[in-house]
Amino acid sequence: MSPFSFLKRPFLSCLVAGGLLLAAGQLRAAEGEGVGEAPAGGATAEAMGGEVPAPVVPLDVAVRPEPPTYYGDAVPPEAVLRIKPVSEWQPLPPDAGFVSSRLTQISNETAVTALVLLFFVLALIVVYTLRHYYFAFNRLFGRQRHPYVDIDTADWPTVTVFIAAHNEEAVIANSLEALLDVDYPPERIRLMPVNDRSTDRTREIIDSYVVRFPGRITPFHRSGGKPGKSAALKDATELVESDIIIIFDADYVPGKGLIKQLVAPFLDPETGAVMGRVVPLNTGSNLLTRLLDLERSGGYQVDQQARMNLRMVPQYGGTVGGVRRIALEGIGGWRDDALAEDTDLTYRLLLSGWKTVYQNRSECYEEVPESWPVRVRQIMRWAKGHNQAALRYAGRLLFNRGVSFAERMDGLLLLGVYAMSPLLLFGWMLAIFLFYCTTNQWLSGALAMFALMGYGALGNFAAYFEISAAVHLDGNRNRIRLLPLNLFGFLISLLSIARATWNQFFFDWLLRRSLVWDKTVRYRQPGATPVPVHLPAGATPHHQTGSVG
Amino acid sequence: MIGLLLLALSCAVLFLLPLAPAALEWLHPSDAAPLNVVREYGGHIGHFAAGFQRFVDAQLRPYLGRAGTDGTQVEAALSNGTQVIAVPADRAPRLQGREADARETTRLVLGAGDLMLPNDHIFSGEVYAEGSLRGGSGLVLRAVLAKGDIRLGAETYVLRWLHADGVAVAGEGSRLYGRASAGQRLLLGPGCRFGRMYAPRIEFTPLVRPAPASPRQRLRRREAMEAPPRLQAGDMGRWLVRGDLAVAGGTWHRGHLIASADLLVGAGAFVAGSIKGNRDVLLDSGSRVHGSVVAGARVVMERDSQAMGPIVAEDVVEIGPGCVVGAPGHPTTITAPRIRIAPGALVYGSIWAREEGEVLA
Repeated sequence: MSPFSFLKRPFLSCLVAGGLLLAAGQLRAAEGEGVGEAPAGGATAEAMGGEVPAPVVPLDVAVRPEPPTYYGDAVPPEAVLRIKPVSEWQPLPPDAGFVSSRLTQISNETAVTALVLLFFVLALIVVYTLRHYYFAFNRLFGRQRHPYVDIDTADWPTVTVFIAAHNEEAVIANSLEALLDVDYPPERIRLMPVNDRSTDRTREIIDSYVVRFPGRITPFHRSGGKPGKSAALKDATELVESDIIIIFDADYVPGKGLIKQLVAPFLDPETGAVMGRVVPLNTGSNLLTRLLDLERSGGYQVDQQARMNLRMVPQYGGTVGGVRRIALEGIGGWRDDALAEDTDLTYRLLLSGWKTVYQNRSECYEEVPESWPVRVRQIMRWAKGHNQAALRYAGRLLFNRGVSFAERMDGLLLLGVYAMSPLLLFGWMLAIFLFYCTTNQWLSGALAMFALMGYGALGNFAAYFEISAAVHLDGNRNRIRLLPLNLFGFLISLLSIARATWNQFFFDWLLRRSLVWDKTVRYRQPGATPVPVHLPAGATPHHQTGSVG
Repeated sequence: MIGLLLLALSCAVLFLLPLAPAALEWLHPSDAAPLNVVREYGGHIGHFAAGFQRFVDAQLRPYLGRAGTDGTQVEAALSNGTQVIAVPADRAPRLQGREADARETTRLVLGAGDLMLPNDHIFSGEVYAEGSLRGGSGLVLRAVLAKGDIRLGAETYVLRWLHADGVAVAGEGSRLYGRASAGQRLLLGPGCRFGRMYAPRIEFTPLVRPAPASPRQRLRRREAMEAPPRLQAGDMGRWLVRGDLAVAGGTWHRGHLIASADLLVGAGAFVAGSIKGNRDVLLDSGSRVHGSVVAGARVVMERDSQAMGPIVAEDVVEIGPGCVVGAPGHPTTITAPRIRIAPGALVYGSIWAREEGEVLA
């Protein structure tokens, strides 16, 4: 092993770099102390062009007593961390006190306020960091909950499968064929492609399948109405009488056993929604898809499953999942004004006493964005939707006595996930501001470093621990090498989310702009090779493959 | 100045060094394939048996035919070196030499009709019977497939899977590791251990007749359950209760019952719906639930209680004598890490004990 192998770990590298910078800061501070040996009033003398000689200070005065702090005699200098009430704040004498300003424009009150805000942001980072650790360690060493995965025999409830489609000529046939082949009693399942105002050949393709498989597909062609997936699902749900609604996007390709796996948790009367695991299909396309593959692994394999293990709030994701129809009706159906109908649904169900179940082994392929502009649009839409849900439900969740403490805390943290990006950005600015505008380098410099490290290693989206654990659990190896590059992906996400939040609060709401639903681009071309069937080596016995003969 | 330059340089190196493996993996991908999602594997309990049947049909039919027509044991080797013994109908395989001394064979054993297996032998290869299979006690079998019935003596070990198109019987104290399934019935004696099982009807012998209800009980009209205190939600056909919930004995309720703690269905009570307790669920003797029974920890079914839907527990399921789970034509599933079943219980459908299943002695 290389002696520098530990440097492959970004966190350790950050620590080492931070240590070096701090050492440099202390060196500079020491130099500063040397310069500061000039007697009091030196600064004034300097300002006057050095014409006034420095007064000679008696030795005993130079050493004792200590000069009065800006806080006054009532507060000893070692206790200046205590912040006085605002009413008692005084004008700042230059270069004195606890976090004294280097620039005369910055008052000490400003510096202290900035420091308090920075502490607040750092506290939030620590909370999210602990959460990431908790989830990752739970997945690696905790007891795993998959209570419904073994249910293979039952009186299966009736199911309607929605296939949400908007200009999906490239992928809809692949999805329909996979769904027609699933293992579920055919008299209890109905496929309903929800064709939302498509202008390409989607309708034609769907109708050709309706003719080929009579009685198995009930198409819902929507030519008008409010745009967006929620609105389309809302209209389609009015036609449904089945017990369960399962939802796929048109680019998803379910396996044979997936419907049963997704329906099984609904045999529990407390289950309101179920979410399966989404697996990127086009991982090898470029760096972005590979980074998104890592991010998805962390999100599902660790984050969602840990929440399931800990009886917290697994999130319904809007696709590869399902909802109990009466629960949906009970909470008022789909909200067509919700930008993230999945998050919205998760919280409304939770507040009404329904659970969301995550099934980690119910896996399904999807396409992830292959270009940064598409990715940015996608994450901005998610951010706006999530923020919308946070404003709607955070308060109600906090004071809902029917929800357990663990669910309440996790639910609030989950709602705050996208709000962390602008907060982190704010914290970063504060750290830099304090670094350059105050003289208390030992503290503000360290805090600035911690804030920067928080971005790189501990912050909201930099869930490196989770990603590493997820890749380990998935049995992949070499792709973990890309982990440091996720820093750049996270940075882009951070800026995109901050921008989305800014737009949402200062333009969309103040100017009453309507929130626009933006569909993610598909990359498969019409007539492309269908998604292959993968069987892991060793998953089948020797006589399955005929190797005995 | 030099110091600053060195510092900047070392910082740059420290920053770039962790990125070197990433850059290599980016430029020369070695692990960029999508995660394997097994789309065709349905997880059906008969998966291995069906695969082995296909293998027999494709490659072993000639040996079975020869043994059947000649009436003599046929011994052969496949092209990959796998040894095969094909035994005529109603016979036991004849082992010779070291195999006979060790009472063990690694060869595939095929029966052209009904097949007998002697006591206290180890069969490390798969065993196939074109008819029924009758095994003595103390056998160790890797995997067994029979077109007819399978009857195994006491203390038999099946290491991977077992399937009978007809009836499968495991004698007292047997161990059925892996999967065990039957086309008609599966019978387990006292002291058996099991993993995953499926049959239209699974009997834990000796069966116990349910205690007959007294004429007074039969004639008594049940009273509807009263709405419990601490009711959090009472809509959409379900009662959601904070804390424990008890259905009083002899009452009935139509709809689902959910308790955030323990849930008790009293003796003789009837719930036309599913029940869930986030801790333990107890079905007292003679109670009936027409839906699922789900527990965050334990499900205990006392004597003669019944459940129609799946039973799911995250810790233990205990089923008493005379209990019935599922119904003819309505098979269901019992799943939990540990399952303990008393002789005399009856299950229609699947039982899946992820850690250990046990028939009480």
